[in-house]
Amino acid sequence: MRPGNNELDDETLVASVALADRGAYAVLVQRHAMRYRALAFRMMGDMAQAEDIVQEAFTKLWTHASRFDGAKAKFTTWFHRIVVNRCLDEKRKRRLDPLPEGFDQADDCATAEEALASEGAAHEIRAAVETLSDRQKTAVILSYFDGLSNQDAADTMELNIKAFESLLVRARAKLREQLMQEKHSLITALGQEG
Amino acid sequence: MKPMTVEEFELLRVRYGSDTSLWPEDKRVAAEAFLASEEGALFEASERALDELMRKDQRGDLQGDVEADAFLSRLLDIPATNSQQIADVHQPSSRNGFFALLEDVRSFFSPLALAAQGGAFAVVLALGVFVGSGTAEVETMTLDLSSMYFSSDADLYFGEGE
Repeated sequence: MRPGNNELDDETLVASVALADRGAYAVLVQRHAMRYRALAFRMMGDMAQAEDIVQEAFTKLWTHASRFDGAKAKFTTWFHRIVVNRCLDEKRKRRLDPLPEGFDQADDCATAEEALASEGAAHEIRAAVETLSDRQKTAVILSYFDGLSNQDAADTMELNIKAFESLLVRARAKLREQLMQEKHSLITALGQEG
Repeated sequence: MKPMTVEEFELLRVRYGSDTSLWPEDKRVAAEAFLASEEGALFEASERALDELMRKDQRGDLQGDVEADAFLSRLLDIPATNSQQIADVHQPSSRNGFFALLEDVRSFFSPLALAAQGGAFAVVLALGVFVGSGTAEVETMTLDLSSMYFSSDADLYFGEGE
């Protein structure tokens, strides 16, 4: 008996998508869409933009599935690469676009009081991750929030494993430093109030 | 045994994870010695705190997501609104015959087209050689130019047009 689409692996499903199989496409959406949405949201910090990027990536999957070569890479590595590169492009574009006149940019750095009032841990780590370079941030997100193995994350970023591990070490060191600074400023703020 | 440095421990922790009991034997022994030191214990405490913060934030991802269904249905609609590249290639052209063929120049460089072109070239070449070898012998010059030096009637050949 022919297995249903739900039992097929990603690579086989992509081969069916290339032959215009909408059922296979739907299984890939159900299986992976939310994960890539969370990943793009982590990268962009804006849900509407994250959804647009993932929608674009799935459109590409539908229209260009024949370009995927299952012998060269896993589907998830290929798709991660599409989503991550699109996020990095968008961030680069965002930096190049000048802000409209009279636009008041929100201060991303929380003051000590705001930090105290916020949910705490989640706010603290997100603020620290925002201080990382794009590459460091991508490495941290892929490894700790998306749960990829070091090898898969390195493949996604098109780095060798040693370069990826060094990048992750530097990112963690910067996060620790950042969190330490935040703690010091909290203690200082509390001391001044008291 | 050489004591492990913070940098070495940091890199190995990224490579093998926070649970040192799962590390390769030789590295595990050195790591445990490092963790027993004051510097090692302090460093590991800060690493664990960082891991814990990231774990807490990971759980926050799944909370309060009301837009997910709308997002999924937008993705599922993509096949209805986008044609596949492969389908575009096979759509019938508005032109027919030779001009339709010219519309897609890329097709001239496909492996199949290159093989066909090579085959056609070989056939034409072979036909040319065959036809050439089958025709009458090429006429060679029969006029003996040296004859004018020895013959009094050389004008018969060269002087007619004057």
